Amino acid sequence: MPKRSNQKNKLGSILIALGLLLALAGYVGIEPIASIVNPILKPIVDAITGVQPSQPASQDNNQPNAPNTPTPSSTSSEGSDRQSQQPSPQKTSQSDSSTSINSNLPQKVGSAVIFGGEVQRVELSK
Amino acid sequence: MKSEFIILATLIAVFLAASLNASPTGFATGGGTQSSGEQQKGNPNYGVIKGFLNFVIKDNGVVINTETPSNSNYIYFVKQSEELNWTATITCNTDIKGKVKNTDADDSGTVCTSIDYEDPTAYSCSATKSDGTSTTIYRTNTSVSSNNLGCFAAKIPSGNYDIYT
Repeated sequence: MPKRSNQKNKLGSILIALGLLLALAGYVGIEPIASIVNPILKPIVDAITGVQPSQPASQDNNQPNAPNTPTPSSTSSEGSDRQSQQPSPQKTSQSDSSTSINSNLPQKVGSAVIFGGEVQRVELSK
Repeated sequence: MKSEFIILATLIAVFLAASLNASPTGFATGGGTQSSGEQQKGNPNYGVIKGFLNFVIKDNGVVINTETPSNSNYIYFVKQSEELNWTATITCNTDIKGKVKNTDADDSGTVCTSIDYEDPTAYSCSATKSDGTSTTIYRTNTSVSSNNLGCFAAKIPSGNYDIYT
């Protein structure tokens, strides 16, 4: 009976040591341990420290689009092109409307040299 | 003998021309009038730009869809190297006089057909450059007539232009 108790204590010590090592690896940021351990430990730590899970600082980096950011389909096609090329996660509705106005501005589609008395033909694509 | 015949033939020709009130030399003869015919010269101040506009969708720079515009679209001609403030007001109230007659804007009849582009085919516009100074640009619009959707022909002053639409 004491032998079994010693074995349990040893196993418990090993598990605690292993847990501490994993926690330390997660804290230091050793991958891939950190990516596995942190999601498990973070809610626990947040619960202990009282941080609201809905406002974690790291989520700002993982979610580029603010909840109220209009979807590309709500703007013109040219506007959505610009948004896909230059994502701007912090855009307000005001800046979105200016993007929409700009998308309607004329675009350069070609050049031509007009000689007096002559005809020049061009094919334009937009 | 031969030279005498040539001189005689020349005298007869001059006599006949004078009796018919015409001039074998092309110079007007005294007391008469001489029509010089219609003389034409290329307009040194204006040319015509014609063509058509397509709406396209590109995938990695390759056109994968082409659409003929169903509505009339403005096409602007801006002097090359001039940067315009497109958000500023553009006022187009000066006609460039003259129709462009019987013109096939694509030269092939596949996109456009031969039609008359009525007077005025273009307008002179007052616009604002990026530096705030005023400039003159020209504007035409694409046709909405059937068989000529997206086609245009415009009489504009000669020069080097960037085309915007």
